Amino acid sequence: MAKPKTLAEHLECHDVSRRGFLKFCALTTSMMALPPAMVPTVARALEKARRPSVIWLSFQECTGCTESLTRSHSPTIENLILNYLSLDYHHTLQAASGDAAEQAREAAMAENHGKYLVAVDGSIPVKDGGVYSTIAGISNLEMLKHTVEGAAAVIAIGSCAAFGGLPHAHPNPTGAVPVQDLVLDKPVVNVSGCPPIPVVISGVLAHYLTFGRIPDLDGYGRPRSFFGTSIHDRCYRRPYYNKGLFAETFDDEGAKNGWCLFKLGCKGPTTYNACATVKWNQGTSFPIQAGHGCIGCSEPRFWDAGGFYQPLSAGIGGVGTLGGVAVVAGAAAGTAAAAFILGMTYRILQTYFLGRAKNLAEPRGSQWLHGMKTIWWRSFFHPGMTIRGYFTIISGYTFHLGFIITLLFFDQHIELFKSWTGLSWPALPPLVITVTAVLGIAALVAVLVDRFADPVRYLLSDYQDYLCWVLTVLPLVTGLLLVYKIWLPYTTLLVVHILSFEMLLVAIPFTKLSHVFTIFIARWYNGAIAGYKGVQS
Amino acid sequence: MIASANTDRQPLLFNAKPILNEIRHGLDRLLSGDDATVIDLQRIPFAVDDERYLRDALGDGEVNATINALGKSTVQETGVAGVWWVTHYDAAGSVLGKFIEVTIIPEVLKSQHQDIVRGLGKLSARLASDPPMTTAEE
Repeated sequence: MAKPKTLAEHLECHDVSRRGFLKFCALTTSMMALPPAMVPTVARALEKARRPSVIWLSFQECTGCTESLTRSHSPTIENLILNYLSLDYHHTLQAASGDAAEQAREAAMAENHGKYLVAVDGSIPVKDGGVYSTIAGISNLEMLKHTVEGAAAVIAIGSCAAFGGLPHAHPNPTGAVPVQDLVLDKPVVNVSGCPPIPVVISGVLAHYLTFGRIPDLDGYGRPRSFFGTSIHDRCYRRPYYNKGLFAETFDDEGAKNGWCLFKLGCKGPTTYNACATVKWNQGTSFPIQAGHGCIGCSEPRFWDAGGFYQPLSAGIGGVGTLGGVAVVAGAAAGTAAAAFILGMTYRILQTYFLGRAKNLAEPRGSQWLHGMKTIWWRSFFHPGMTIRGYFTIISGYTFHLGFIITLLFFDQHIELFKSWTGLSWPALPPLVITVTAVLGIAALVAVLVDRFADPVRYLLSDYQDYLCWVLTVLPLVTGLLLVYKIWLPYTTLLVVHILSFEMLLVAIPFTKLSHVFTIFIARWYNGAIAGYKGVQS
Repeated sequence: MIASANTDRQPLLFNAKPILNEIRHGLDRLLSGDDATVIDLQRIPFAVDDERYLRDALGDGEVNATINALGKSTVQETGVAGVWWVTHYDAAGSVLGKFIEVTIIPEVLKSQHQDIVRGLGKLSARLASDPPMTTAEE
């Protein structure tokens, strides 16, 4: 006997009455989070629905997502949906194993090319060629790429598949990435959550079954019908939040009275999911109803987003990790800025009070105008500069420009300047900044090597020269490590980067680095002398 | 108010009253001949006492029906005529869906066209296959 083609025929074979079908449609509509008025539309669509083939791939995961679905609270409807889908490969659930299992997958792909659904739970390790997770000798990366080739759509089930989840958490030893980073040419639905709510998983499958397409998605690729509102917006404790009534500890009067858990670290305001309405364990309860704040498990990078018990108002990263050191770095910033300003004032006054002999000659031109002109035009290249070759000129320009451009045109630096002064200007693209920083470092390394190689320069160099070199290169190097999250934890790098710049600021007034300021005075002075004499400087 | 009151005595409510108002509007529409209103209770956030409050407010009515189709379903008219609780269960008795319907009679309670056609066919087949009956007259 040929397999039934449409869902209506399938149900008829199982002797399900029209009344039973109506009940099925009412529950499926509810499962898809569509309004009850949609039931007739859903019924019409389901009558004609065709049986889709589903290939379920389990990668770096804990099987919690499969547990969530198969222990779902609506067995009859689930069974109908699951029985109706042709689940052609799921290595935890299928009877076949080894080669036979892999052959089932290949056969389903060939038979339903362009029409089958791929469900993925778990993230995919890509480091070292993806060797950290393999099935039947095939790396997850390879299996995913091969399997999605003929897929109609991909459903990433759980936070690992959707956003990388636990395997992706710092320090991400396997280089785990989510499905959406690898599958770029097929629609990807992210059903996040750790685990996702079972009804949300089956709701997405039901949606595809009913309408033959994936549901509307939010900015993170999640179905809007389930992830459209925050936990906070739908929380029954919201009225307490609005009144400013909070539990301060887990055993105080507020906690007993069921007040808002915001201050105890509830992530409800920044978490989008259906827990507050659909609830868990056959609609019995959900974490907030049980007295614990939401941990935000359906949001990207929730493992690294600070403590579960840290209020959102404390800021991501919290006072715990970054906090102590950041406070020190922040206080040091004030000290460094003070040292810089006072030091520079001292140096300028010192220079001014050196005094200069009164010029008895008749002035033949303007001091001011010529001085200003000299400041400007000496910044540019002129032939006289290359008498001793091009090396110093080119490397000198490169590291000066590299440093200044990186300092002034990196978007996060501009944000910082803006927060201090209110002034801002357009940033350069991050890639350009990376190039300027790398060129700056390369040029600094080149001048250092040259200094060691050239016996005269080597002899002339003293402790201060090397100190200045180290202080200049450090902010560039630590900044690069920070932006690309290399070697040390992000927060540590951030603090090191801030401190490196503070050290530079403190050193500027008291070393040769003071030229960042005095160069303008010196140039003006030179220009002014020439201007007074009426000659070119 | 909530801060000072002992909340052990006071029910914790969130959406019960808005739903009662929605039902009130649904009844107005039903009386003026408009469509039925169906409220999917599993898609509305409830506090712990909301459902009990709704049940108390609506009370029990005159009709109680049980349907056996893809598991059990109960259809109960509330004390407010035209307002029905429709609850679907699975074979194990777990609740799959909870609805309040504001209607003259819930759709699922009516006999369905396809089922009637199938029933008629079954009856006709039965009559056709039965041996001719001997009647008292013969």
